[in-house]
Order: sequence, then C-alpha cells, then structure tokens
Amino acid sequence: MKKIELIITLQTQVLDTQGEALDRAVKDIGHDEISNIRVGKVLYFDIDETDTDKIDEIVKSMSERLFANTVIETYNYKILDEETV
Amino acid sequence: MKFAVVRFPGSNCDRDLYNAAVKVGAKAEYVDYRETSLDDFDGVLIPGGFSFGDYLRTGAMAGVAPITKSIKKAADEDKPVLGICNGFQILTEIGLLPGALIHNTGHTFISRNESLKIVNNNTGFTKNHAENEDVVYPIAHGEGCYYCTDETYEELKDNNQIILTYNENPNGSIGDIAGIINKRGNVLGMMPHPERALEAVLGSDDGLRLFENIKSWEENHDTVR
Repeated sequence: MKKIELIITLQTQVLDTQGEALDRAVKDIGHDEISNIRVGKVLYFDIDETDTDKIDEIVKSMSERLFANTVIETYNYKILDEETV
Repeated sequence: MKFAVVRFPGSNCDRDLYNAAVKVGAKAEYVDYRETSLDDFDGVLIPGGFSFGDYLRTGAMAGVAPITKSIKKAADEDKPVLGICNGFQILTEIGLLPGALIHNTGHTFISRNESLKIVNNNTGFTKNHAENEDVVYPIAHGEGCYYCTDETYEELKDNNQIILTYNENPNGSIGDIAGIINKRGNVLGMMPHPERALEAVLGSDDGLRLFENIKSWEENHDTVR
C-alpha cells in the first residue's frame, strides 16, 4: 500500500480566474511582492500496489481518464514516504 | 422521433429539454445516468445543470458515468446528440467534441438573454435558419469560456464546425464560439439555452426551430451530408 499525492494545475496558457482574483487580494493586503498566483488541486489517495512502474501506469491512466482534463490541465504525482503518511 | 433526455444528479434543465422535444411534436423519455443503453432512441439530449455538483471539474464525473458509452455509441450511429450548457461541457469531457469550457474571463456567472449568430446553417441542427441569422437564446453559466488550441481552432474553422457565435462575446470564448459540431455533423454542443427560448411571451421563441430541425433529423441531416 502506498500513499499518492497528485497535483493538478491549469496549463500555463490557460487563464486562471481564481489565481487572478487572489493576485488582487494579496495586493489589497499590501503584499506587492507576490504575483502570478496559480491555483491547482491536490488529491491524496492510497493505492494497493508497491511496484513503482505499475503505480505509474495506474496513476497516469486515471489522471488522463478522470482526475485531469489534459486539454487544459497538467498533472504531477509523487509517492509519499511512509514517514510523512 | 424519440429522444432520450439523460438525467444526471444535478441536471436541472432536463424538464425544459423534455418540454422542447414534446412541443415540436417529438417523443421524449428521461434516461437515468446509470442506464447502459440508448438503443431504443433516435436522438440524445444532454441537459444543462451542475451534474455531480461540478465536483472536480464541470462534466468530469458525468463523463465516466455508465450511460456515457451509450452516448458515444449513439454518436457513432449518426444519431443527433445535443448537449446544452453542462451538456456541452460533458461532450468535451468525453471527447465527442474538441476543446474545453473554462471559467468566464470576467469571473462572474452570467444569466441573461444573449444575441447570437447562426454562422453555419448547413447542418441537420440549423437547416431552417438563414445564414448568419441572429437569434436570441438565454445564457446561464459561470464556466462557458470555450478554450482550445490555435491548431484546433483553425481545424474548427476549416471544417465549418462553428455553428453559433456570440454577437458580443460575454465570456471570453475563443473566436466568440457559443456552439460547435463534430466533423460528422451529428453532435452539437452549445452553451446558450434554446430550450429556454420557446415562448415569445417569455422573451424569445427562437429556440423552437432548432428542435424542429432535429425532429426532422433524417431529412435535414441527409441533405447536408
């Protein structure tokens, strides 16, 4: 059993309205040094598999089919260390 | 002509679509998203709303629901498939139409009557409209900004797949796109709601003709193929 952290973000050329709104909000707070905020999603899940190749195959397949829309999004995942779970 | 009106949890334009089909003299039946066959139907209508609460992404969950395979099969069999609003989002999610729908560039949810142009009247869906005819359908969406790559956009233009455009782009859609069809011409996705434009007394009855077109699908679709 492994724990997966999957991060999904909008592709850089796709307008991120949430990021835009947040950009304005941080400036309202007075932090002009922060910019280009991009908002993504993170999914955590357990996978009943230990072979890293097999995990890669399953996570990619599920990301392409359901978790992400690769027309507008990109995804990255990592297998979390047992200690951090 | 018998239409399936597919119902997902969170669909909320299903009754309007049913009403539109019946109003033009077609038959209609609701079909639950857990069903696995649409063989008994001559056409498929996918309603607007917020299927599965728009969880994860608009149309994402509906895109893997049991009924999806049957929708793809109906499209393969050259039956008319019409997705409106959330239905359009679902059609892009399952790959029957290219591109994706993202948040309106102006950040807001927009609900109002919108002036549109039928830019391609040579389809089974738009046959009895004049070329470049203006129509008024309501829009009601927060994620209706049509996005695709430049390459896809050129392809859509080259194949005359752009059917409906906004006269004044409300949401940032590339090329003012409000509705597109697949290459074969039998799958139409659109953000505006023709099923909410059936009564002049309520603002517009421009939507009626779209449903009249689909009701006479065999005749209309054949003449443009």
